[in-house]
Amino acid sequence: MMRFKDIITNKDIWLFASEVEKVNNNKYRFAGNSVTDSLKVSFKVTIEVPTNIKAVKVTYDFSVADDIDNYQACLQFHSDFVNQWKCHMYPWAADAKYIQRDPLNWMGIPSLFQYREDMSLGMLWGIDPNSDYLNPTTWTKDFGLYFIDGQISILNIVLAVKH
Amino acid sequence: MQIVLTDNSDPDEMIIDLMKEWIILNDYKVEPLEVRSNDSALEKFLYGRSKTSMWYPGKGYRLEMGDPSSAFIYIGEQGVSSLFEYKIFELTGDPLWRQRAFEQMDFISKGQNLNSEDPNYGYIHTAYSLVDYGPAGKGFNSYDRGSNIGYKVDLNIYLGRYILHLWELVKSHEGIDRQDWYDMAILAIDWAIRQQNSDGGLPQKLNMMPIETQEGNEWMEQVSPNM
Repeated sequence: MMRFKDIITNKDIWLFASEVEKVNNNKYRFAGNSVTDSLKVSFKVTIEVPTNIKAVKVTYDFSVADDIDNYQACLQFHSDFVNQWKCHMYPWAADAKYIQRDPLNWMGIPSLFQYREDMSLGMLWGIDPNSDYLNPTTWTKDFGLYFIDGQISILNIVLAVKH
Repeated sequence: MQIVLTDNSDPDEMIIDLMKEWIILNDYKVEPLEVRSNDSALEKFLYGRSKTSMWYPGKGYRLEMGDPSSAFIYIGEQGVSSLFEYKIFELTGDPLWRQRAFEQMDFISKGQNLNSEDPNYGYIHTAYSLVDYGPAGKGFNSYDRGSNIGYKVDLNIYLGRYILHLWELVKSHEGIDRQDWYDMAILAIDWAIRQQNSDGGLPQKLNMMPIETQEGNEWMEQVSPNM
């Protein structure tokens, strides 16, 4: 459902759900936890498909038992690329095959406009604008957004996470 | 995380479709603004502009407050800034704005290449760093804080246009013919026209020589960093 990346060892820890709850016909909540020597995380991921809107909301909620200064929380969106994609994010990228942007400042909407090169599908993916994503008291560092066509689309909560 | 989708293949409609969905998804509403009258807004604006610490007498306005990269006067915009302030002078009668307009115009000319032997004769530098920052250090340069490095064709035409505009305005309204402003504008525009591509178009900018190479030439010495 999500992963944590140790930025010193470059090791990934994937978190898998052990519980699933149906909130309503449009909303499901997954939960689980991961306990290793270095990382103790509990998480919930809620996936909601609102009625009559061509959109999906994925809400991540997690807590850690201890401060973990060397991890990134990675919210991966896209890893299996069948199509060719490009992206646009004013003022950082235009008609580009990749973007690596951290932090997401100077932006009206904290999202990436991504589209297939044949224009058969377009999407806007990013952060809930109602979340406090630039609040340094909530996160100890920044949100970053990374996309490389053919390789990865990922939202990163960069560096430390406080419990 | 949110994912909003569209299958509209028209690029413009694709963005419109995405934004409509995004607005619904997030129940996005424009926050109400405090609305004041035009006269009140202008009064506040002029008061702030007249008192701002971002005005550097004899030079111009610092672009913005922030890190050292923002400590520069954007000469490329200074032509329109001068015209704007002269129009404020005509609107209000306050001589402060006329003085600032003239000072900005005169300062633009100090960043112009006046070496007729130089291929870039007539070009006007587009930035003036107020602090020792970046490869060019303090003074006139065309680094524009690193985001648009090069000799700007577009901004020199833009400058020329507004320099001529103000020259004409002052001449017709006050009977003062600032031939030096006129010459400055024509030289800059002539330089820009010389950069025309073979297809008739104009490049946005020209690549510059490395700063080490420029330091040895007469033009860079002409625009003293200690001004």
